[in-house]
Amino acid sequence: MKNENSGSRAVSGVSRRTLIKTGFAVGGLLALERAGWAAGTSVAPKRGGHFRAGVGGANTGDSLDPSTFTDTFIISLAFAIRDNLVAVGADNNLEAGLAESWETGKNATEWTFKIRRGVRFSNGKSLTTDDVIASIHYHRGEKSKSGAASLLERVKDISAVGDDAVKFTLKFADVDFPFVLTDYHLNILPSADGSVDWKSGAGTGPYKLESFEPGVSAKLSRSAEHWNSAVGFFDSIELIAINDAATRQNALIYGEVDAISKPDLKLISFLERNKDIQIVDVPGRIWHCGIMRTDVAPFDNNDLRLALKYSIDRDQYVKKVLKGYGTIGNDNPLGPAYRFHADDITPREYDTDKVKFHLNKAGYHKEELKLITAELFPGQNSAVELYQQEAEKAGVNIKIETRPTDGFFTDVWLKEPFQWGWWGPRITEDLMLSLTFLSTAPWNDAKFKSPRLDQLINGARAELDEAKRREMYREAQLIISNEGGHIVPANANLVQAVNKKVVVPRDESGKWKISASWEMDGGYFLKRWSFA
Amino acid sequence: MIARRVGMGVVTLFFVSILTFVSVEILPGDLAQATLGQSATPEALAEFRKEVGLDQPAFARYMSWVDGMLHGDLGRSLSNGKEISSLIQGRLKNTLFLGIYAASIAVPLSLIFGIFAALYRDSASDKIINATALTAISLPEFFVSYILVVIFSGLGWFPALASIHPDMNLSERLYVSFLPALTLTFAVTAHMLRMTRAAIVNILSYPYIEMAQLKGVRPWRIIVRHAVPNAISPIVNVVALNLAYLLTGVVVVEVVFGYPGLGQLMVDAVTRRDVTVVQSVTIIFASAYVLLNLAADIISTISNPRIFHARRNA
Repeated sequence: MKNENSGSRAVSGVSRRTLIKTGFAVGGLLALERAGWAAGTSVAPKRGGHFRAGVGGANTGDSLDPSTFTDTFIISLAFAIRDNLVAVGADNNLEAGLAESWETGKNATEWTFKIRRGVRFSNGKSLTTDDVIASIHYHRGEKSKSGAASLLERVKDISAVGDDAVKFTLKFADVDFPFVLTDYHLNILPSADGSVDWKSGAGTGPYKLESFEPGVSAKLSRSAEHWNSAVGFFDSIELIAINDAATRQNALIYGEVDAISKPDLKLISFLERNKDIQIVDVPGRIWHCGIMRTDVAPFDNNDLRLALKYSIDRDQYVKKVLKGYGTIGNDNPLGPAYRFHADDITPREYDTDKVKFHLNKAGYHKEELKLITAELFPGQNSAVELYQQEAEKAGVNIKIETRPTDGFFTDVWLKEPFQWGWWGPRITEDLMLSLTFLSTAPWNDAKFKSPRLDQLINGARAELDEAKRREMYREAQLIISNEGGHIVPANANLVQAVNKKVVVPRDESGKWKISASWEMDGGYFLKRWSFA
Repeated sequence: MIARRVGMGVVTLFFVSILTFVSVEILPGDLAQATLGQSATPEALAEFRKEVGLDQPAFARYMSWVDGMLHGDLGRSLSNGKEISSLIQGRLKNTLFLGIYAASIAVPLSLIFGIFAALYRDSASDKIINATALTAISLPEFFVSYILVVIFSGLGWFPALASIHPDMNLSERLYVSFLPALTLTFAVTAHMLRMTRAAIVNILSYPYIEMAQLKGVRPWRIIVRHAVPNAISPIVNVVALNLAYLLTGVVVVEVVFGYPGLGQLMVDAVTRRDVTVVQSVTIIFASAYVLLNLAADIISTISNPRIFHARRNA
């Protein structure tokens, strides 16, 4: 009680102070905040409380250096203490971050971001365009060792425009460029003489880093001053590294943490039955897939590929492998979580007659097809067995070969003709498609080459008319689904479990309103969730 | 003799370090790949490798690690640049704490029950003790952990998550890490208990025990005065082996309870292919084995007058 009171007093105090300094910015913020309320969250978020989250993907080797971020623990931590120029909102659309607005010219090769004024880092330094430029530059260029370097290859130049705007010049037109800046590597850091300071943990986020022991835990406290009053509701946070899914689940069940990432789907029925726990899930951009190399026999025959696509029972896959936490896939990567998902195309169904028809046409006589798998996601090997049995009923003879997970991507991926696996999420259609489906893409794992598809992907990237873009992506999905080398039975949801004391935003219809760009509300859960 | 054993120990450690280095080297993928993720460009990977020295040939990297090690410098973690010695220090303390905690339950427990079972051998209580011990030894640790969590955390008595902090006091630490310590106790007690029982039973069949019995010495006195001193050597050996296991075999238990010890550090370092950390931790584990075995040898030598005096007279 006492905590809550002092919390809310501190916040209103801040608002008043900030109001005097920068009236303009606060006006914008209040509008933001109102928008947040109006969006239909059934319970309004309240400030206060000590929040404990058990999150996986942690490693003793983690550091605050954003160029090395790869997994949930450090990404969530960074999004709590820092901000990006642009964020992915709870509705998966772009949301203002440290850039309060952005605009582009007619051809989408030049993007100007207006930087918010009056923002301070937790070390007291004011945010300037220099910090923004240095923070992005940190991931670019020959000397960069950043995991985001490939993402920024499209950027030709960054320059300041006046003292409150930054201009990005691109090598090619990219309508979705602001989405690139939402990437978890691209935190805005304080800088001096062009070099960024990531070591101190100072940032513009709503929380201040009190302590951080890599691979163990981190403690955060709410900053007294933050530019955005629509985020940051907890007084203090303890982020606990728990890499074992069963342990995370135990910690939640026995009340030692309030929220966990990625519960084990095999054990999720225990959580579903628990009346103190709610499962929070949202259709994600992860796709499970069988990968057939379209450049080697027998998979260079589209009839054989179609037969294999018809021989999987997608309903069963979602029910048994994903325990219902997923949506049926239609042999293309753009599932329901994508903005340009073509929901008017009915997914292919399990159909033994069609399998036989296409097998005949392909001249297939029960020759053995070797399918390589490894436990890349929990339950993958049993998923593949399920597929094998269904395919056998339809007359396809699949032989499974199980390999160790370690080194799968070095030894098997991009090499073997037929394998099972999954693809991680990408924030835009273009990032996903140009990575795996352009003829020239180094990660085109099915070696699928289609000039028309190249034309569509490259065209849609530069197309400003949304209706036209939608049509282009629809055709791309049809081409991939009908001719491509991927069997995509399902898109996996992003699943997390939380104590019912925690308020996770919902939309008017009662559905969870959380971002699908990454686990845990896109990594923003510490900013956006609260206690009831 | 002791000097020779120490020498052997050093040679063992040397081979362990080579073996570890080679093992991590032949694992597919490397630190750069593991740290930067799949979307890293070849240039970024090359830059990262250069920064941490992974562009050097394997032999040179190994030699520089050995050189540092000999000067008492474990070097830095390749993945986050922290000093390995500072990384290990806290973790080692935690693992030692858990090991000592478990040992201080397990060792007295197994000695008392072992002697008790030997004394009343083939009685109902002996059979119950044996059956319990056999069950405990056949259950995998993660299974025991989950069972304990279901029971004790379910009752709300002990936490399922053993997240200990440096600023906790002793009683808090003991409370929070009770379940992992109990799991470890289950894992090692059976072995020590059965060995104690076997050693004592063996001694009890000797003529001098019969002599004592004929003289009318009370059973407990026979055990404590006549049997135990002669059974020390085999018991100490199995105790040492189990103590070493408590330090090195905790990996599973630490992962299941989220306990920040050396085992967790090792698992993390292997997933990141952080070879210098893996090596340093391995050397600590191997040293624990070597030292404890050495200690066991020394104690059994001293406890056995025949060996002890023969050496001294020679």
